[in-house]
Amino acid sequence: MKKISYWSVAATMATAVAVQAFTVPTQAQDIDQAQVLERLMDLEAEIKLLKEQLTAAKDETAKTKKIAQKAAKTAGKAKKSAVKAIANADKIRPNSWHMAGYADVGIEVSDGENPGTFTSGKFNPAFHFQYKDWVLFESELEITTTIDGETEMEVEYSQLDFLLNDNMTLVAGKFLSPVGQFQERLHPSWINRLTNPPAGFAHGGIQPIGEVGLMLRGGKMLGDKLFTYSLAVGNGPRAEHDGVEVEGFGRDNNKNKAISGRVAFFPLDDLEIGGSFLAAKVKPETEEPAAGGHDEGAAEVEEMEVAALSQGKYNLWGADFAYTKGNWNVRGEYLSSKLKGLGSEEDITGNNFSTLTWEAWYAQAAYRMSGVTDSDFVDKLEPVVRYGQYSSKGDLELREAISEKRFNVGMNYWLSSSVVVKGAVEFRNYLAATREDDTRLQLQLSYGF
Amino acid sequence: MKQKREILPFVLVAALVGAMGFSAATSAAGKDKPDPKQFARGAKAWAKTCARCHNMKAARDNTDEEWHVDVTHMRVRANIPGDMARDIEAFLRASNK
Repeated sequence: MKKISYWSVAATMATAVAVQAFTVPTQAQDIDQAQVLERLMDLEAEIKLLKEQLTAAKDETAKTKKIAQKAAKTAGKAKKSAVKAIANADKIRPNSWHMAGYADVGIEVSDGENPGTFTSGKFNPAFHFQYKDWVLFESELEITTTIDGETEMEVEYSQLDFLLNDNMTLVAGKFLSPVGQFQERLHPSWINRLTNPPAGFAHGGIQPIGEVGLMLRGGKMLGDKLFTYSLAVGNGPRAEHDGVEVEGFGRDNNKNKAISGRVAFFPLDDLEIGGSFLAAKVKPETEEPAAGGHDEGAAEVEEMEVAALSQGKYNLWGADFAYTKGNWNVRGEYLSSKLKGLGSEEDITGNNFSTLTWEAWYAQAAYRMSGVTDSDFVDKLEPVVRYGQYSSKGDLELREAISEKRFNVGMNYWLSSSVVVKGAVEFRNYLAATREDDTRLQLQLSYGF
Repeated sequence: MKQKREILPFVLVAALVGAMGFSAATSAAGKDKPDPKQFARGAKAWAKTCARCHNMKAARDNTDEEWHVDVTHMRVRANIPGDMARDIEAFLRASNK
């Protein structure tokens, strides 16, 4: 047996180790290079993507800059146009005028005591004449056809407005009562969302209609909130057969001036809250002279008898609100009045007057459908609903004559901003057992011009 | 004495009118100078104020002179402050061409 050489064994082992030692690092180097290459390619791809994104961002920025420059240019042009338009606006003559007003016609069908009928409605022309920024004369007539076919004309208001400063105007003449909001601001048929006034808010109701006298009024911004006021002194109300009427009487019949007014503020731009009052003394009612003759002597005696009786104190207060945001038009009003001490025992006509009170209120909501759908027809629709009550206490006959609850539901179709076709159903519920409740179907076309 | 008391309110009002007349005349001065922001203020006030009671009429419905008088009428009726009314008028007169 050949003797094993220790040197050869050692050399073999050394060779094996060396081979092993050199072989492993070579494989590892190959793997790292592949990974590095792969990573490098990834990075190159990422860099390429980032470059593309950067280029896109640069393009976008350039576009935005161009748009911004264009917008600034347009805004500049618009500003110049606005200034130019204001500057080039037609010169106003010192004496200028304008005619406005409204007219309406309608049909009413009832299942109650009144038969269905066409209604001629009203024609209310209003004239405005202005001298510089100093004074405005304005007057509105109401021309109607009576049941008998005759033409009736009344002066709704006829007043001179002296523009004292930005926050104060002095009004003199016959003007609409500042009490509440319906009579002064909402009664024109193209503004009123239903075909008639709420119960108690028309002629013969609790709401004062007009006044003859003087009124100071205006508005002022307190911070960013608007505050408005109206304070009037006038001839005041008169006792009539159906109660107290404030219709703007041409003469004072009791040497006592009535004071009335309203203040309002806007806690929000779209919300107005107001409060009103009226304080006056009322002379007992006198008999109308008999038809066919007028005995001056008897009239003087009657005047003296009436003068000997005590005047009644008539006080009224009210509160109202209006919320007009977007498509909504929501408003409500409350009025309460009291007459006491009229004629110590009984008035000249023999009516025994105790303390009488009246109360009326309504709440109304309308919603213009514009923007609700894509339909032009639906855009012009406006559903509306109103509920109100009118009542009196202190005299049974008077209470039964006037007390009622009224519910209206309607749909308006606006042909333009001031031409409207109104359709409504009105449910009247009377307190008096002798009066039948009735339901009325109303149709009205109104045009404000 | 009673007659004097009756007359007193009218005397006070006359004095007030006299005193305010001067401020009315002076406040009217300088209103013709175009204000670039008046148009925007007027547009905002028009949208906010008029719709409180009625639908807004289009600016083209009236001439400049008619708007001048109409806005004064509404200034009195709705208790709109004078400066706000002038903004509204400027907007309407600039928009009705």
